[in-house]
Amino acid sequence: MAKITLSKLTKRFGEYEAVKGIDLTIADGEFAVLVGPSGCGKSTTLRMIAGLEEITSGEITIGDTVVNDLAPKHRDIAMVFQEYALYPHMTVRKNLAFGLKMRGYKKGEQAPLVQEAANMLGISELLERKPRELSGGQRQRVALGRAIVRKPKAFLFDEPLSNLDAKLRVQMRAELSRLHRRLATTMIYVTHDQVEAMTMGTKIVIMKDGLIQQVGSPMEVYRRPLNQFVAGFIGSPAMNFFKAMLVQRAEGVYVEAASFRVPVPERLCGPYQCVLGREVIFGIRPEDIHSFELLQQQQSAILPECRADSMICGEVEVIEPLGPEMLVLVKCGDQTTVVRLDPRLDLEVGQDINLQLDMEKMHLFDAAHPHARIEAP
Amino acid sequence: MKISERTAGYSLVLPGVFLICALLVYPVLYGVYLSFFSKHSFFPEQKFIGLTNYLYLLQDSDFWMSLWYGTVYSVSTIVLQVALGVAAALILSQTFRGRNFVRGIVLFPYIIPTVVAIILWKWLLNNQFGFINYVLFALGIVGEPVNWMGKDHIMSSLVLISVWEFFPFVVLSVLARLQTIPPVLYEAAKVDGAGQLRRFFHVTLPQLRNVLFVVILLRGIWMFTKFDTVWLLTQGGGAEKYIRTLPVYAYMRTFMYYQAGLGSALAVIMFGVLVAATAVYFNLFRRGDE
Ligand SMILES: Nc1ncnc2c1ncn2[C@@H]1O[C@H](COP(=O)(O)OP(=O)(O)OP(=O)(O)O)[C@@H](O)[C@H]1O
Ligand SMILES: [Mg+2]
Repeated sequence: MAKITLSKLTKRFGEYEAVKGIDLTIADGEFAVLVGPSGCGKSTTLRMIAGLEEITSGEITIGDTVVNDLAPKHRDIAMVFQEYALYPHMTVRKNLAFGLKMRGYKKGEQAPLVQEAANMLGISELLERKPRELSGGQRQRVALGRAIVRKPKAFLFDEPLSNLDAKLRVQMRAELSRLHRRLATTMIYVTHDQVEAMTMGTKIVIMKDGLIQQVGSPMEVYRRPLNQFVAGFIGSPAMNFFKAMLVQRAEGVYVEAASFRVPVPERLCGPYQCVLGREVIFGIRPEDIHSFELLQQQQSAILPECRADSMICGEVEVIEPLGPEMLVLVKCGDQTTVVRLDPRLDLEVGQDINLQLDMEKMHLFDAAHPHARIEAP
Repeated sequence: MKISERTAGYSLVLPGVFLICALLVYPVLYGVYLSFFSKHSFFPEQKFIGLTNYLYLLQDSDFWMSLWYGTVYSVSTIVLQVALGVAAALILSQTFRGRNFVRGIVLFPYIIPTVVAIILWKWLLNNQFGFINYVLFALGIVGEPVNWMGKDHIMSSLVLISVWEFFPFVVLSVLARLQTIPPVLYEAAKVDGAGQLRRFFHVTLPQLRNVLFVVILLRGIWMFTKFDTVWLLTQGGGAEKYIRTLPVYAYMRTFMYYQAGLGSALAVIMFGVLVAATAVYFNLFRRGDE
């Protein structure tokens, strides 16, 4: 068990800088998820921690040891790869025992550890099989087993679930979380899937172009994204963005976009004072937009004051029923907005719809580079 | 008229079956048939003599010598070829500058005609003005020129030349297989704590197992029946006797003593030895699988 710290970590491949100096501390026992779009340097970072990739500059410590120049075998970490990387000529038992054998465990010491790991993952029946005789899900379990059998200081996962079908992925997600709770070992998990990040991580690290954009708990990064990129990346479907201007009127402060104008709640007027009259990016999540009609019918408690002037109108373009909810693409002016609505609502493509924005949940970002979140200093 | 699917099928494979019979089955059977006759190689006179050819060979010390030489030659060349070939393939699978150039060079010996290779080596190994003797002498390794084509060294020379000529085949096969081993296996092994040597023995070698099985089998058959390299090296030297392997001996019996029947018997024995060795080999491999 160990704390892992990265400081000013960089990685160059020739001229190309894949990781551009990142600082990160992962506490002992934490489940940290590195998430970001393809090519942002997640795997490279993970592989540097594992010792599979040389560090260009910076420092990595695991526990109290600087591991920059340590070979992978001396770092006492385990890694699970996307392609499983099981040794094809060895039985499951030998695959699990390999790491122990390489570390000089005697045959007699190996067996109980292998059995324990196999029991934990429910693969004791598969021990005598070869990897090619296993299904994808079973291989994944064996790969996990090979990692946990050694009881390492930390686990590193590089998109371990991306080769599984959707249902199995959900199941393995839960299982990994359970495993983490049970072992209480530091885990670093790389994925480009924000759902995996949100559901499993106790700490989410969002990366882009070799840089860390934000670090925080799942709800933190969801509620308070520090820039437009994070806001758009976390949450599915993604947050809606509008180019807008913050204007002061007699009745209060308004967000004025090309096709609508909505009032800013009084609570927020103070903090937003600094961007009055400036171009901003206005963001609102699909679940924070409601159908005006439905709210009225239900006399909903969501919006105590259903102000008619915080309403926007549009035309229903696409309806995607998902069962418990439906996603509706609404065309407002020349921009399409995604709205998450109650499926009981009777809608038809082409009809007009009035939408009520929950402005308490609004986000504002600087329209100038670097699209940082605007809030009270 | 409607041709049934069955008839159509048979008529389609018929030409193939005929070709196989004409080109494979007939010559082999004819060879076996001939081995029971006393037959002159060119004149159409033959006499059935049953197993006499075989019985004669069992008492023929020349036959036993050639079987021995053939075995020594095949086993030593295969061991050396495989060791050298795998080593070279491992080196060539690394990334380094000029790799493609070196890969091309390594394949050279396999491409040049045997005749040329033999002339080249005879020249290199010449005991009076050969380059190899010159180097050995200059380095002080030998005190006097080694007679490479003489009785004592001709087998070593033959093995050396054959290994040089045929190891690129091993390189080619092994290199092709090496490139299909997923690099992530090595990374997993690194994280699991395996050093370079253990990664070779626990990851690389097991992956090469199947290709080595085929390579050793093929090379074994080819080395045991190799004629041209051996024959060409014996030309113009007095030590011919000391590298007279089975194929050469069969050739001599057939085309120098005109004993076609005896030659055929030799060929049949060679065939039998190969079949037996292959069977044992397959069995060993299968047992190793468990
Ligand atoms: N060995 C390498 N040589 C050169 N460039 C590389 C190498 N490995 C990675 N890169 C580059 O570094 C960048 C980051 O790669 P990395 O594999 O870390 O991305 P990633 O975030 O894991 O993406 P993905 O989600 O697609 O796996 C990419 O632009 C990639 O092209
Ligand atoms: Mg990756």
